Amino acid sequence: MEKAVRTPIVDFDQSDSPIYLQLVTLFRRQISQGYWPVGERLNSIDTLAQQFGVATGTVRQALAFLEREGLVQRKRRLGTIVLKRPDTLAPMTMPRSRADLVRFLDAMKSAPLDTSGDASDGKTAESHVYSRGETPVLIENLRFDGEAFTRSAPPMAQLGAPGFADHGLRQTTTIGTADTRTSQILGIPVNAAVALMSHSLTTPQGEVVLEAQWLIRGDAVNFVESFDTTRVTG
Amino acid sequence: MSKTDTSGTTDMTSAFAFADATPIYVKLVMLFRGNIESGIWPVGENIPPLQTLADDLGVSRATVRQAMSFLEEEGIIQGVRGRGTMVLAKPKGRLWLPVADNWPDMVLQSEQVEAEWAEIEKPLWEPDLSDFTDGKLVDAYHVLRRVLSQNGVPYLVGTSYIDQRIADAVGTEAFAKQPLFDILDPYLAHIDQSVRIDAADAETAYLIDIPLNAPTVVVRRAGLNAQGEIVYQGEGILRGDFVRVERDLA
Repeated sequence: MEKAVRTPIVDFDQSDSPIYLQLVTLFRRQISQGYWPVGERLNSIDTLAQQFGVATGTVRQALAFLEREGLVQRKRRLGTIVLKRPDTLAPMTMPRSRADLVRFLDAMKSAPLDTSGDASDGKTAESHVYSRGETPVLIENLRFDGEAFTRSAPPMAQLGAPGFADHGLRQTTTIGTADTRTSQILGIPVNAAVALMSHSLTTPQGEVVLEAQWLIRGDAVNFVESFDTTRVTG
Repeated sequence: MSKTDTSGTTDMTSAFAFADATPIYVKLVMLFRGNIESGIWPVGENIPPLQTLADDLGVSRATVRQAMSFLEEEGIIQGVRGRGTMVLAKPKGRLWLPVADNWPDMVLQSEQVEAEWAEIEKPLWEPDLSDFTDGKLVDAYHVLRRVLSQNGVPYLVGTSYIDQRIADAVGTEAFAKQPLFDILDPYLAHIDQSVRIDAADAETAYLIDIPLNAPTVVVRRAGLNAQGEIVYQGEGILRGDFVRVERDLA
């Protein structure tokens, strides 16, 4: 019995990446969302090729890729069986305040990355990887004014200190994709979505005393916010 | 990127991986838009040839072309075969897509939208909101769907579920005439929202014209009335490349 494909509209020309890689992601999604359940046999390669409008060789290439990831198993004459769902990370609620932020980092394990050192402008530069359990989720690039922080604790743990109460802390998030090295460190596919969160701590005079850039694997990111629907601002 | 990058947003290039994680065509769009905005590339004149830009910036022609086609969609530039690419106008609106975290901004954004709703007979799925709201679902929802554009570029697929009682009270034709959140304002007391990152599925990719699996931002909202009932559910899938979420942390 042929199974219906949920997503018939595919334009592979829109992306620069090879069609088999686009298929890989499409198939991985079918599995992760349960449209192709674990234990189930996929349609034949000919049928899949027809359904997605690609060559059989391309489907074969994509399935071989997923087999190496351990998600499917191809058996002669028996076809392709779904072995497991891809590992996904439970989302983490992003910090909404300084106290949140300190707790957020404190709940993870951190290790220095080898790129730390002194920046040319006299500021201190450090890089860390933060892990939840054994899973690395966040790369941090720090640049800070060494004199503004005590040495007894990491600078990020001091953000809630009374001395910084009159400083602004702005968080700006954009979305990017993992390059080779980021993908290696975070253990995610190349080109997987990552959040780029940058924090800057600024004195009332506008001087930046700390900049913290975070690269977070995209599937871990969740902003949870809540507000009343009053039109009165301020 | 080259020394001619005056976008001002790529300082800290030395920091590991951060600068490289922003797609190059996004940086080019920022740079080129900046050049047009500031008059370095004047309106009515041709911009440098593709090959020159690619060489100067140390990127591939394909990447320059990708940025150009975005600006072309925005109506800022126009390429004419054999005659180069001309600047038509300065950018009209902002490039970045904000995600509101307060009601006045939500209302404002809904008022600026120019898009037709398509009614959906039967929802494809019921969004699961339980992970970020305590609100209670009501019996029936009126479902609307639309694709939103900014500066002529489609950027969001939005699906809204409106309490059937509200839809009945205001009449469904109201949704075609009035901004959604203006209509809902009297019925709402509170918004719970969740913002997550995903990858474009085939339908989203098709609807907002982005590559399959390109990063997307999914904004889900539950609008609660004073009794704690969810009288509005919204799911917006935005193209991720130009989303910018800015927050001040107290």
